[in-house]
Amino acid sequence: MKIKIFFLIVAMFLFNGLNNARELNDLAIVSAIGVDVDEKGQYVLTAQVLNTKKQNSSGGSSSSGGQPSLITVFNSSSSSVHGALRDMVDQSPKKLYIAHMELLLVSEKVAKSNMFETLDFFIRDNENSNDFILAITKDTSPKDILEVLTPLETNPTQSIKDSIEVTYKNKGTTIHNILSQNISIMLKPGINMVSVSIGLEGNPKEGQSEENIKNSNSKTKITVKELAYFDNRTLQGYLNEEEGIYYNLARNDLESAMLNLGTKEDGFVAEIIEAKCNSATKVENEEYIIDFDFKVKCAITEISKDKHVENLEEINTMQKQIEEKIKSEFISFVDNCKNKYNSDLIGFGNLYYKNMNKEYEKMQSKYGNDYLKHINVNCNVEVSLVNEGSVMSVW
Amino acid sequence: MVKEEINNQSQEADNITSFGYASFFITITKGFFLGIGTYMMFKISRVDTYMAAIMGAIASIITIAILYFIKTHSQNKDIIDLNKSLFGKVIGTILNIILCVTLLFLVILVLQNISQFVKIQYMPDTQVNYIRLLFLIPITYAAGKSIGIISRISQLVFFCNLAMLIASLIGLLPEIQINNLYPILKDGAMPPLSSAIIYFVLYSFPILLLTIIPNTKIIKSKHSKWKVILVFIYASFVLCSRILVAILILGEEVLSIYRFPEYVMLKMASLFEIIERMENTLAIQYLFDVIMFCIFALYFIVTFLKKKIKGEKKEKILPYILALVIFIVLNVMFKGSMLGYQLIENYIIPIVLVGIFVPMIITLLGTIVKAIKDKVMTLKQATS
Repeated sequence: MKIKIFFLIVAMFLFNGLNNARELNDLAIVSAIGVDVDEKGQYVLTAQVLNTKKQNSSGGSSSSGGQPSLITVFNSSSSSVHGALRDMVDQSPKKLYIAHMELLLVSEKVAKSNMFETLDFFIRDNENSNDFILAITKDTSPKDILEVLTPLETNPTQSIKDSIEVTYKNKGTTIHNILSQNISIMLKPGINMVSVSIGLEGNPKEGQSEENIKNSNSKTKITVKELAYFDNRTLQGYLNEEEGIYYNLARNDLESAMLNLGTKEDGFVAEIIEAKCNSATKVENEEYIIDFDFKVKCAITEISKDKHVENLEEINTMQKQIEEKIKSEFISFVDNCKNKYNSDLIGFGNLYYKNMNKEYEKMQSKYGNDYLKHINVNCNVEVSLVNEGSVMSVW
Repeated sequence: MVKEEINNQSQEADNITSFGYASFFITITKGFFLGIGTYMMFKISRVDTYMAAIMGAIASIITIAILYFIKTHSQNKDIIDLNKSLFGKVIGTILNIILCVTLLFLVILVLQNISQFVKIQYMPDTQVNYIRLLFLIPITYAAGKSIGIISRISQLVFFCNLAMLIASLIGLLPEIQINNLYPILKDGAMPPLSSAIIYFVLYSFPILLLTIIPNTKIIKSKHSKWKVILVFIYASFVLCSRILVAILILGEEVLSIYRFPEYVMLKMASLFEIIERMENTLAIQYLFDVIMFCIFALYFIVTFLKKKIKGEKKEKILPYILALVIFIVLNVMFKGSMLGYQLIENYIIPIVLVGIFVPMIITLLGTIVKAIKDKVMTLKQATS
């Protein structure tokens, strides 16, 4: 019995995974990574690491200067993503730990090549869980964005992530996909990926200093931009801001949005508070038709001086105006996907693939990648105004 | 008097309750789930794999019928003694050796697979031999014990896995997307049928290993049969639900790129959006499945060897010698991980069919012939 207990204690010490133990102090927790490419075609990686060094306990500045930055940024370049990440240990006293990464920024140059190749390291690595947001940096580089300090939120990555989430939830012009969802869309047939884009307003150099967060109006700001669209896993361009609303509407992913209707004199503003989308695919006389049925609940949030919300007739008129607006904008977005963007963003092909697989194969053999132009879309919108605000008559 | 009491107590400890016996139907049948069975099934039938699982579960009734028939006509002997009594010492021993060698090889394969899984997902910097030893030590220790103790371990594992299954399902429910089930039967009915055969072979063959438990060791109760039926239905539900949930969450495109999709889907689990990143805890149910299968398979082999090798001291070190053999073979055969994957993909079905099913069917035929002979004899005696 004593031998068994002795053996058990020895085994506990030998076989408890001590080889893989890593102290928290030895890890540099990465909150965001930026991927870019230089002129030589080498990957340039930027890693934003949380600075866990203790702040001055008195709260005041030391004689040599102010408080250390809350983030540290490392840059390196290599022929591969993993190589560039590993090369950062030359600069960092701690090994970079990417399990808590929340944001992956990819430059336009990288996004215009095959995205899947760039993302291979992040998909293959078992340390992270692919639950971070993928974003394209519009008209700027990931390095410039990750070096900017942000007001309101001490962790700039959290600030960007919150901006994306707030824009998605309140404005509806962007999406809130994590990497695993993006990979799923990239691999699906009959649909192309759409991604969040982030831009920079102001001078990136000024954004790096604490002065940027000391002023009431920061000179350098990180902003959420329009959705970036892809075709065959390469970046093609950007949608306009309003099209993001109709993209989310068609994907049944719209939480809230704002619609401006009419002119300044007799217009009004409606807020979409709930939206549902049903789609049905059919083939009639060898014509491919998709019927979209939108059920939208709106609230009136603002009206101009010539507009009234006093009786049922006026409310019905407003409802019809909203229906017309949504219908025309959605059809315009679909036409842009077919002619201007030439990319199946909503996933018409994928709808046929899932619901009418044989017809999808016929469509592919008949039209190849140009099938999108041969799909007709019908749109039916049903709007109900549930709320006119707390003011009943013109005041 | 005291010695008699001790003997009685040890005999009682060696007996298993009807629930303990029934719990084996679930705990030992899922050893090939992680990275072997489901990987092969997803590769062939992709999004229709859940249909294959349902068909395979229904086909597993055949295996239960074989087990039931053998046990009813086994004259309270285990499979080792039954083979000898039906076919003579030589052929009976050959059949038993085929069973034991196949089981040993399957244990090696399953241990190699689980060691690779743990190394890749949990401990990439750790030597794989440490991980192999981590598994081998409790497996060997438990395999050397009596069937009563193994059944108690099985019951514990049953309840642990039940709790983790409930936590997984609750955590994964919000991530389910029904449209991931489409397109239905895109490539016709052949892929799900082929996958159903894989399910039937890999997940139902361990049921036949229960023939190592003689009827005298099972304490019969009023609802013994119902317990077995219910646990079998629950086992099929667990396997089918894991496969279905993996499809509903990951979708057919993502299923095909990962080596362990049933683990990847657990990464999406979150309990009430508060507790996240539970995949490493929830994946313990997969590790328990493998450990239970290995314990039972090694117990089967040890029981056979104990009947061949007499002597109390020699019987005690048998499991440890087996563990040493397994450890050496793992190091010699599987220096890299790719050989394991190739063996699994190309050879595991024929190995199980030839090494387990064929000997069991021969035993079944032997029991049928003996049963017919016995009936004819009784009829002759009755008429004369």
